[in-house]
Amino acid sequence: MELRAEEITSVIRKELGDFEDKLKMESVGTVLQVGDCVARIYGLDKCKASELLEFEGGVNGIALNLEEGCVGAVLLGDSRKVKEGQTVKSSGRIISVKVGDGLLGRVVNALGEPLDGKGPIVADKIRNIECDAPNVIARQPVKEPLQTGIKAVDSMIPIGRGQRELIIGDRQTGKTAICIDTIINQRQAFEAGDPVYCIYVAIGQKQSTVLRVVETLEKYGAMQYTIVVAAGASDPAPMQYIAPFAGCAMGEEFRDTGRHALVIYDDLWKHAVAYRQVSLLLRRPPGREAFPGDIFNLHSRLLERAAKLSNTHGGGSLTALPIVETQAGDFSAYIPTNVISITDGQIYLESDLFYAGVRPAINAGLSVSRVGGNAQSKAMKKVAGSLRLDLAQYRELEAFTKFGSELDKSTQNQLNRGQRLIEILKQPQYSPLSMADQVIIIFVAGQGMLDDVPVERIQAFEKGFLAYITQNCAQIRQTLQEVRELTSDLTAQIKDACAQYKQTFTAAEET
Amino acid sequence: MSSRVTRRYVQGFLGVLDAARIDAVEAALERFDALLRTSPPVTAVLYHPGISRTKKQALVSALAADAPPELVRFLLYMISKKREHMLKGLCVEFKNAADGLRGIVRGRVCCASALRDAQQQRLTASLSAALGKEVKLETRTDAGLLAGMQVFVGSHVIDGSVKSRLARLRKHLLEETTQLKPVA
Repeated sequence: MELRAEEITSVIRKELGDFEDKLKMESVGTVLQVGDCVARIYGLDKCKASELLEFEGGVNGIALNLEEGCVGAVLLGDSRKVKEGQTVKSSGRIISVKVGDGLLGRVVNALGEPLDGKGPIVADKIRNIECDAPNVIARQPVKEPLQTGIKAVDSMIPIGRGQRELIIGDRQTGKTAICIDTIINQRQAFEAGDPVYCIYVAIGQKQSTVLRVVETLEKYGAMQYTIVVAAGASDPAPMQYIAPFAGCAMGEEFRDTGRHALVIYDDLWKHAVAYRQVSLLLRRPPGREAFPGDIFNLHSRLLERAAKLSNTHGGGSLTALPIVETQAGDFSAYIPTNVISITDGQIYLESDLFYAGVRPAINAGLSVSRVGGNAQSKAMKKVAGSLRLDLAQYRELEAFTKFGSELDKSTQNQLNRGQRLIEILKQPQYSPLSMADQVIIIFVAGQGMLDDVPVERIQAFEKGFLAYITQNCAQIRQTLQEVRELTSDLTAQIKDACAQYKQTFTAAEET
Repeated sequence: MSSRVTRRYVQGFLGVLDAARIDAVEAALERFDALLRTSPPVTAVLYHPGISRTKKQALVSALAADAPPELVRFLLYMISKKREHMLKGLCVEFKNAADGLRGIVRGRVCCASALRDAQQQRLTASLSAALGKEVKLETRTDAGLLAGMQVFVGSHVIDGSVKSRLARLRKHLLEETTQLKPVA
């Protein structure tokens, strides 16, 4: 690249023209004490809560405690650069991050600085990480579906755009997997020109785990509409504390420009732990489980920013999928109960189910979605209604499965149906299904058309049947996708296709 | 922590003290403070946990025999309340609080080259007019500022030094975010 001296001069001249340096009175303080990412500052008379503070070494901080004669602040950067006696200036603004399309495909830290070595972020706007959630007038009820591509979720626990759905479970139960699948499933919508931009906020995770997520997303072509905000386990606690707020601000930019976004907080338990650390170091009084008293407010003000905006406000949406890890299945701990009560429903994952081979390990009985039902397509609503009922009946009778043939005919039928439904809801990772495919397969299972297929062959049948539909009757899928309703004509076509495929399937099995 | 408690004692003391007596008390307190700082045996006795408070009070009344009686009573009262370790910071807090009552603000000005008397008078006058209080300035020179001056008053600073202005310009040129449009 050739550089011309005049060009450089003109750029510098323009920048200098923009530079205004008026003499003004600034509020300053002196560092009294520093350590563990926390500083106590003397002075700063006019300092406001949550204000951005500028330390001498180029480190920034946030004023969190305003006490008589001293200000407690957290440091967002290398606390070793801050020394006792240094001057601190209050900036009069709160911390902000770059937002916009320039962040898509990038991995950034909690301050929006790039971590992926792909050069500086190109953005023309910044946004405060803390802001008020949209008020009642600016909102409208959730009405569009957010397809996760997971049969068990889209049928029984539907999520709408603008909803907040908690994903909760022990370690190693597939919480992150559900979120990654959801991001991957947005590719179709992205390619169709109705994108849901995704923001994955990793809080307190190993760098290797974050890298694996990024690699997976890249492999499935999902990074082009995704932003990853990473505050790793080795990052200072204040960075972990602000990371979800930064991610939320990035999502709000899409929401407020009439687009759709999905933000995943992985996970809020670690976020609460980071905030607890900061609070205890600032000598705020500990409450239950040593968490500070405002931990509920912290999470609720974060999740309240997820919303479906009214049409006068552009009709954009921000969906939030917070994850909370439980310790040994303790759903009644402080943070899980808090977040359960804030969100519009939860997806319970259980390790017992996971090890029994039911993956995703969703406990359908305990999982709920309080608002997503309105967003479900009519076709899905129809097939999902009977699915819930059949599964509930199966669970009631499940204890009797051991008696086998000693049971009466109708009980046996119910057990058979239940076993096949459970089998149908199993789904491998990274293989999201479209709404039409989900409706077709759940419909045939619900109609009892799979009752004579052996349980262990159900998944092979499903795979083959969907391939058969693609080959021989693609119009079913297309109509379903367009009409989004199960007309009697369509049901007949699906039944026909199923009957035909079953013949070839059983013939192939016998040979 | 201790300065906060000291401040409360001082405020209480000033509340009951006759305004006309403030100067006399301040002068006596300065003498007492100098004594504490210059003679380690006195502080050793005052801080010793094994020496009774009556003995400490007797020592303080002997040392401050020529001080105004209000001050002596105040010092004895502080000892009786187990606050003898705060006597050291008492003078500074008292002076600050007394300045506040008199409407005086103390400040500090740091210049690249020494100020002429006329300049200093003009600066003091304009600062006093701006703050609505009488300003007492302490001057210092620091060639590192290159040119211009920094004025510190209370917890506020007016930074007109060339050094800081260059730093701000550097930040403006290098940092993108300062040029970006914030979203309301």
